[in-house]
This record gives sequence, C-alpha cells and structure tokens, in this order.
Amino acid sequence: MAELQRGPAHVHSETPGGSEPEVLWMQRTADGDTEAFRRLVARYEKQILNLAYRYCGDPQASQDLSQEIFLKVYLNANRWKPKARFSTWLFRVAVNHCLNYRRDRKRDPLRAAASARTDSCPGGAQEALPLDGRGNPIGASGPAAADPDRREVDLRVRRAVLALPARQRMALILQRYHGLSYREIAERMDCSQGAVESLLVRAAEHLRATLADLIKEE
Amino acid sequence: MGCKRVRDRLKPYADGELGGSRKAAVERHLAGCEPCRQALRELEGLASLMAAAAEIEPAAGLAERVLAEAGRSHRSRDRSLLRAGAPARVWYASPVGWATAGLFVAGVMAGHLLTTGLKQEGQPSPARSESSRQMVDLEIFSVTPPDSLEEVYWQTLPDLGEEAA
Repeated sequence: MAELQRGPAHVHSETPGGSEPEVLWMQRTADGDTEAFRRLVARYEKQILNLAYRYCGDPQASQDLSQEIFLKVYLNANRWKPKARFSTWLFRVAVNHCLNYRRDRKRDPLRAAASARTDSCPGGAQEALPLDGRGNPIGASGPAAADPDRREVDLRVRRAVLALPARQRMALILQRYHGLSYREIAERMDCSQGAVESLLVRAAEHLRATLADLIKEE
Repeated sequence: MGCKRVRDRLKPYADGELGGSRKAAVERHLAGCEPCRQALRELEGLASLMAAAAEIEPAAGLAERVLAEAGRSHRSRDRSLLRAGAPARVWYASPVGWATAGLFVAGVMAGHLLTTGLKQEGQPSPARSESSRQMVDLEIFSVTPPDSLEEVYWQTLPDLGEEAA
C-alpha cells in the first residue's frame, strides 16, 4: 500500500507507457494486488460503461458488459505488456467485447427477440431504451438529462445512433463521445485510418438523413 | 474536384483530419459551392446535437464484483471468458498430463512386447525363436531333442532376456 502511494515515479521509464500510473497498477494487479486493480477500475469504469451504453443502448446490459470487460482485464493482467498505452489496450478489449456481444446476442433467441427492434433499421431502436418517469434513460446524467427540451432531442439522437450498423456505430461513438482521432480509433478497432474514415462518412450520412429536421432547427 | 468527392471528404474535413492538398482542394471547392457549404453546416449541426448526450453512472462495487467473479473463475477453471488470452486446459499443459501420457505409452509398449513375443503355432517370430534358440544353444550339454515338446515350449516363450528359462 505504501509503495502504491509513491505513484508513477517508480514505474520503469524504459517502457513505452512508463509515465502512466496505469502501467504500475497493471503490474501490481498481475502480482495479485487487488487495490491496484480497484484504482484501474475507478479511473476507467465510467468511460467503459458509457462506451458500452452508447453502443448497446441498455443500461443493465452495459453494466454487465462493463463487468465482463474488466474481468478480462483482471484475468489477463499477467499477460499484458506495456507496448502501448494502457488506455489503448483497454479500449481495444472493450471495443472487441462490445462488437462480439452483438454477435453473441444473435445466437440467444430470447435476447435476439428482445433486441431485434434495435438492429439496423431507422427508428427501430424506439423501445430499446428503458426510461424513468421523466423520459430519461434510467441512470442518465448530464445536460441532456437535466433539460426537458434537450431530452427528446437526445433520445432521438441516441436511437438514430443505435440504428447504425455495428462498426459505424462504434467508430462514431469513439470519435464523437470519446474524442478520439481517426488514428486512435483505428488502433482501437484494429483497422486502417482509411477504413475509419469510410465508417464515419457513412455514419454521418445515415444520421443526416435520419435527423434532418433536428439539424435544420439548430 | 466535384461535389461527390467533396461530400465524401466533408466529415474528415469537419473533424480536422484532412491535411495538405486534400484539405486545400476541399476548401477551394467550398468557396464556390453553396450546396456543399450547406452540407458542411449540417454536419456541424449534427456534431452539436451529439455534444450534450446523457451519460450513465456506474453502479457501486464494480471492482468487487469483478474480483468475486475472478475468484469463482479460478475455482471452476472453465470460464468461457478466458478466450481473451488465458491458456486452454489441455493435457500437455500440466505435469500430471505428461505423467499420465507416459504411463499410457509405457503400457502400450509393454503390451506390444508381450503380444509380439508370442507366436502362432507353426509361425515362429524369427527374432524370438532365434533368441530362444540361442538360449537353448547355450545349454551345450542339453539333451533336449529339437523336435521334442520341451524344445517347442522354449520356442514359444517370449524373449524375456535373462528372465527366460
């Protein structure tokens, strides 16, 4: 515990991510230090949760996805090598897990039936978002949740995003909600920058067509 | 550059991802094309719509749930999530597996030695009959006739080395 509090100064500087505290925490996690793992989770759980939430649209499913993603991180801590930034690796695990979740869901007839309306179909996501009494997605926070005027707009935008094909949706979420560059998105989706550009161009075209009336009002 | 090609580049242009000659070409086109400028404004409006999206908060105790699940995983040792990277549980991954395989191979070899040492009547195994005969030959004062029942008996024995006879 005392060593943990010394922070990143004692991380090996020769590693590419050597200045990141996450490198030390992962090394400690691999050694069985659960407190180090808790720090990793605390730093990234909201980002990973909202990546999953924006991808699948279901608050409960996104909590489950988030737990599964961090379980993979924990079980593979002894295999992780700091060749790249920890956040890059973590997001790659999360992206792959979310994309696989969609495929796995199709093999489960009950889940597939419940989610069929969210698949690539304009307006098909209307019933995929559990809402509270004020029409907010359950557990939501932020300006869109607080402002009644924004709530409806946010709901339509989220439904339109959920209606996108999986990889377009993921690329758009990483770019728009996580502020990543095309190069960073390519690293996390394990594809070329050109492929990312193509995904985002098509995603933008879909959304422009679906939300044309809202865009003109802005 | 025509409108179609410019429209395909408006998104990366709006995101600041275009550089050099590609960016200059788009800007030259936009300077003289109102429909493409309108398309660019719509893209910027879309970005504004998405800017204030709601977020959800993580449920308390995520790390504890993960650690509890990891504990169950280590105890059961057959979680499907291990496909992310943990080694599969195959026999060659453990000393017990190697020991078991070794015993199996030794058993097969011993069985082979035992069964191939026995010959069918009238069809002696050349190696076995030779070694048996050698042992018989060593008994230079043996009075066993070659066609006697005793001689046939020796020839049917497996080659057990020093244990013969």
